Amino acid sequence: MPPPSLAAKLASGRLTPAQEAEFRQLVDRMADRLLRLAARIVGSTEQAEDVLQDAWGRVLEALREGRFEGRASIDTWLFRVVVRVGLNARRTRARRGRLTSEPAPSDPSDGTAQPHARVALREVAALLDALPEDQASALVLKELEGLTTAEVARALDCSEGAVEQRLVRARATLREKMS
Amino acid sequence: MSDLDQRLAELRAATAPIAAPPRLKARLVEMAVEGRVPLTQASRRLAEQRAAKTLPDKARLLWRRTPDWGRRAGLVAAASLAIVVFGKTAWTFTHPDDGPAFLSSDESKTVFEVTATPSKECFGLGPGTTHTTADKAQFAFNFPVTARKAIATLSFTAGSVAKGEVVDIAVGAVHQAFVLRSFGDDLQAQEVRLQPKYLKPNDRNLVVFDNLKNPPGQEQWVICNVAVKVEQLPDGTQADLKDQARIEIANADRFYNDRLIDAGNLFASWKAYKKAGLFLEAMDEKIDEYDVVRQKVRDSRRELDEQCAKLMLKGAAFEKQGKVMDAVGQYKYGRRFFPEKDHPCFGQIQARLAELE
Repeated sequence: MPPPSLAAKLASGRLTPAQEAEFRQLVDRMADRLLRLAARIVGSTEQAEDVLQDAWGRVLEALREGRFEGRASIDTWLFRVVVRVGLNARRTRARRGRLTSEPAPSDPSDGTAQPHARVALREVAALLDALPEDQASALVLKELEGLTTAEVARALDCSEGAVEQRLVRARATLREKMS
Repeated sequence: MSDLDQRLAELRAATAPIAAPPRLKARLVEMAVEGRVPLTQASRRLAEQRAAKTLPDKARLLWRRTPDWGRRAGLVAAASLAIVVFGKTAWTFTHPDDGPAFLSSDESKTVFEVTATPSKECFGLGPGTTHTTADKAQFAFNFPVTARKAIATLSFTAGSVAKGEVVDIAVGAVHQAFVLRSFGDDLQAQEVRLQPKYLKPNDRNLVVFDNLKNPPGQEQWVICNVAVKVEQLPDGTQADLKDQARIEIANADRFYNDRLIDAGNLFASWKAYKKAGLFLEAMDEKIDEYDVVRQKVRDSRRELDEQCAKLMLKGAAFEKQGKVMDAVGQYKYGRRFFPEKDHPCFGQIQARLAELE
């Protein structure tokens, strides 16, 4: 579990090349998954990049200030932060009335998102719009990210029973919407 | 598996290819080690440029950056220039009424070659020009006609043209259009379809940009990225041509309607409208779609031009703020909108990237 050592290094303000490599490994291992998670929550890869950078900034800040206690794995913690920042971004966008009245931004500035992926992201966003945030985040983590119920529970800081309940409600709402 | 499960599985599969681009990963690592990230070469060059404020400083910087062979070439060029200037002065004194043409810096009488690839030179009078052609800029091009019919399209970017009807464009001494007015140094892209009846098939043709106010005026004007694209019109029966045109129009409409979904769609719609235009142009009898498509070509082109201007402006703003990585990202993002060289923005983006990377 790398966080305590990473936190200490960040707190000291200087990283050796080996420590930098440790961060690089973490980014290499998690960046794709986190970007995908963010994209599925906000509905576009362009916004997802912003979300990921924002979330990463908060992660680094928390590590520097020693706020990460290491009770969950770093992966779960990263998921949790990205979910929170992603939901915040959705909320902000919804407040501006853009979520439903404007199409998702057309630029995924990376070269990886294909048109069908973009269309799928928009559909995911539309589905999530129909759900309360707690259900939407549980659904994304479980059904789209493929996490186990226990992992989702840790990421959302709730019990496994609560996750199951949210999923049942989410499914019911979506089935109704689809019919 | 229920319909919902199946749909979720499909959505999971469809979004699975999304991956973080390398520049984003680099940015995340950079954020972690912020404060001790070495400057990139491009950032360092930019910082040096900023630091060199006075002309002597700039000259010193240029000299320092020039390789040895370049310095030697510069010295030889300076010496040659000194000899030419001395020769011209001497000639002027000895032959006051008859200056030698080869020493003249104005190239209004020179005919430049132009092809389908936009020229990297700029013509006219004033800042930004690489060839001074105060009066007129003349270009020769081949007009091969291998099909039943062909069309030629002149494209260029213009700047510093203060009024609309100052710079005339002519082929074979016949007026074709005027260069549109432009604002300041901003280069405005323009396309002119040269009328085939004034072109000599399978022969060299001359297209002339003539600034009607020069001489005696000294009006500034700049023409860059000049290109002439010759396209052979498709052969076929009237019915076939009409069907093909309608297929292209349908494609173009679909791309245009989806232009917010994918960055490249507006460009694709423009190309499809142009292709439809070729089929319609090839028809002996013009149908209703002919004018509609020509208008749609103009509209989509205008939107592309606006998109280009926005992209380049944002990139330039990043450069001005010293955010080289962001500028590079912006220009790379711009390539998604202009994936091919048909639009001059492609060349502009490539040029900025070549300088920054």
